[in-house]
Amino acid sequence: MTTRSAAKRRRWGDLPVALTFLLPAALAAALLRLWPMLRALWDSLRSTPLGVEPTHWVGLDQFSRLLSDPQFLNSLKITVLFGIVVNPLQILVSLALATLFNERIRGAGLMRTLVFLPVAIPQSVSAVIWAVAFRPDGPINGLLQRLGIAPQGFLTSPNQALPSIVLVVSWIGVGYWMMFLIAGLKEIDPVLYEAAALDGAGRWARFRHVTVPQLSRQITFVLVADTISNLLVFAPVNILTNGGPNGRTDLIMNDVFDRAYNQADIGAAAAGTVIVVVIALAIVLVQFRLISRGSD
Amino acid sequence: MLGWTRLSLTAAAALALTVVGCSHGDSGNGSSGGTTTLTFVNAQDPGTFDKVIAAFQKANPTIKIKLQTVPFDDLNSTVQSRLGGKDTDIDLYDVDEPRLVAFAARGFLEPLDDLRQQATGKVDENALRTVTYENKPYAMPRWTSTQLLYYNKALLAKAKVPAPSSNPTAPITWEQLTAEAKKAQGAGAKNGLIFDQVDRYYQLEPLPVSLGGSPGLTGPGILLPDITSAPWTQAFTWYQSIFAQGIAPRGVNPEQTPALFAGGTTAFFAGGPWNAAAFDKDKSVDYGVAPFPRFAQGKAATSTGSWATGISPFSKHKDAAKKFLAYMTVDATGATQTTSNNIPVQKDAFQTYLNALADKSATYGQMAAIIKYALANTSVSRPMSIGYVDFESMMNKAFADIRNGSPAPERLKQASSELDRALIKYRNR
Repeated sequence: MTTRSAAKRRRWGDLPVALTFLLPAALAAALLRLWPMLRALWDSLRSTPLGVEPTHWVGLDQFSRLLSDPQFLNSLKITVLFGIVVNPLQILVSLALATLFNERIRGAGLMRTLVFLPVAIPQSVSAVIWAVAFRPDGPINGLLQRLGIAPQGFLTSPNQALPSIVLVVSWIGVGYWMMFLIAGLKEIDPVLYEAAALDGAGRWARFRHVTVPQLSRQITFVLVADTISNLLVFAPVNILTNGGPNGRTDLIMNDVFDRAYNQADIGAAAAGTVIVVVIALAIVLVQFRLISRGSD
Repeated sequence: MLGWTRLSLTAAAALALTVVGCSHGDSGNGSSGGTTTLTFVNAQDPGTFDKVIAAFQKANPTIKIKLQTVPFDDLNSTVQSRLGGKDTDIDLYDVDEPRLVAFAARGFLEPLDDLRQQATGKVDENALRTVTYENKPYAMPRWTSTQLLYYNKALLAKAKVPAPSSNPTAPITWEQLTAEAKKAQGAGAKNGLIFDQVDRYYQLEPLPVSLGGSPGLTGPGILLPDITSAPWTQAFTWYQSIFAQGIAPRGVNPEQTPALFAGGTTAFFAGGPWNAAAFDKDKSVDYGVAPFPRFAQGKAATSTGSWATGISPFSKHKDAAKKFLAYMTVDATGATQTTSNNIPVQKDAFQTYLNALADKSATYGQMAAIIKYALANTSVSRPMSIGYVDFESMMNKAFADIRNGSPAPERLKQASSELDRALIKYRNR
């Protein structure tokens, strides 16, 4: 009995210290995650014409107004289109690069660093650099002209603006997600490849039947995190196109920003944020299901 | 017991870290050792306030002015987000005059009745009206502005295009200018015409107004969009055509446009008097000045209005801020020191500005005459509406789309219905 209570005391005796160490993280989570989320939910149900007068209850009217606003519906459509293109593209390119740079080839380390480098540059700085590159009289068009190709509109063309944003975001994102996949590749037991090779599996068969299944957890994580991060893309759009031309790059976070800080419509902006959170939660739920199925 | 001692030690350490962290985060704003530091948020070029701050601080050693300069496009959203959170770190900030109503109605500006009294007779009455909302002055006007047409003498001579007249009452027409810009391009100019503030309502408002259109907002409370009329459609169809024909370049933002004229490759440049200083500095372009063009069937119209400075209602140093603001805007010496390359609205400083221009050179003498005439006869103010911020940001987006090729009638219609939806919240107040 005495020994048991001593063990119990030892076990619980560290609790206050443990709690103290946990406190900053718990406080940060409450202040920086929970509070803004609850605040957004509260704001989304209330309205104030000028953004600073006392707010009044409008409830779900806010959402129905927002969901019948063609501008918001356009930004939802553009965000979905952007997501459908950018997520598979980034994951496929990251996977290809990770597989390539995991091979023992000369200069792989340097190439890996070069691909990862854009991650270290703030998104806003990358956007400014790309703005110069994409100018109608900029270096990319200069190069195209030398190759005998007519100058392109890029950010000024309604058909090329979104692909241009996909390029900028992927330039930053591919290196980042590649690092997670390389870490996963390093964990794969080389014996599996040897066994597959003995069974007569070629490069493609080994990639398909060894690499992909062994990497499925990392791929699913990258899929979830990449999807959420692309749902929240803001700085490149705000700096490069501000949602134009003709709303063709008006991703949802740019629309939310516009409502909050140009139109001072905090209620609608908060409702937009809540819709983003709901979409993100739905994606995470589906993808977590995939993770658990993958690990079975 | 030991556990609780450890707990309290850990808690004390955590608290100490927090305090250290906070003290590092202190921006240095406020009062210390009898000195008051005022934070002045603005979007001006570096050096604009150097002279006035140095002179003011010399006369008032207990007040220091700290400038926080943000890019022009970010100023309004920065101020709105910070004052929306009742940030006490901003004491003074620059207000783009047409946005004053929106800021004042939101409670983001301190009423300045005492400064208004001091300004009577010393500051231009028109300018004082632009900072008044519901009979209360909410900022102090610093400058006003107008627009001119610059031309590259060498490029026009090469294309055998006669220089446009500098007579303030006889502006060239946009139609003639378009034809001559094309000719200049045929003779080697890379760009025919560039607007300094491309896609911005400030500089484009005179286009529909020249054709008899309204500034774009009308009706009770100036809250009804009026941007689909024939003058608007005609003006912006012309605007679209100059980019479609390659007379003016796409994909260039307002920060980049003056360099394109200063580089000597652009025939015509529609800009403000402030651009001349940058062109002189580069010395790579020999330019002349003419009045801002008008449409052939229309009348002359020029942009006006400029920056005012207001005081945040959340500032803890309002008296010191008022003292600095009075020196910068009401005092003739202070206003002259703040002139930089802009047109002061303080009457003595305005005269000093015109005299100084005329003394510089013959071209500057012509510029002084054009400025004087335009300010008195052709200026069109931007709408003083509570919905101006929404209006301007939506119009700027529409202009950018039109420049990139969207047909003007459809895009203006789309902007009109977007505006209608956005302004309804003010109409239903």
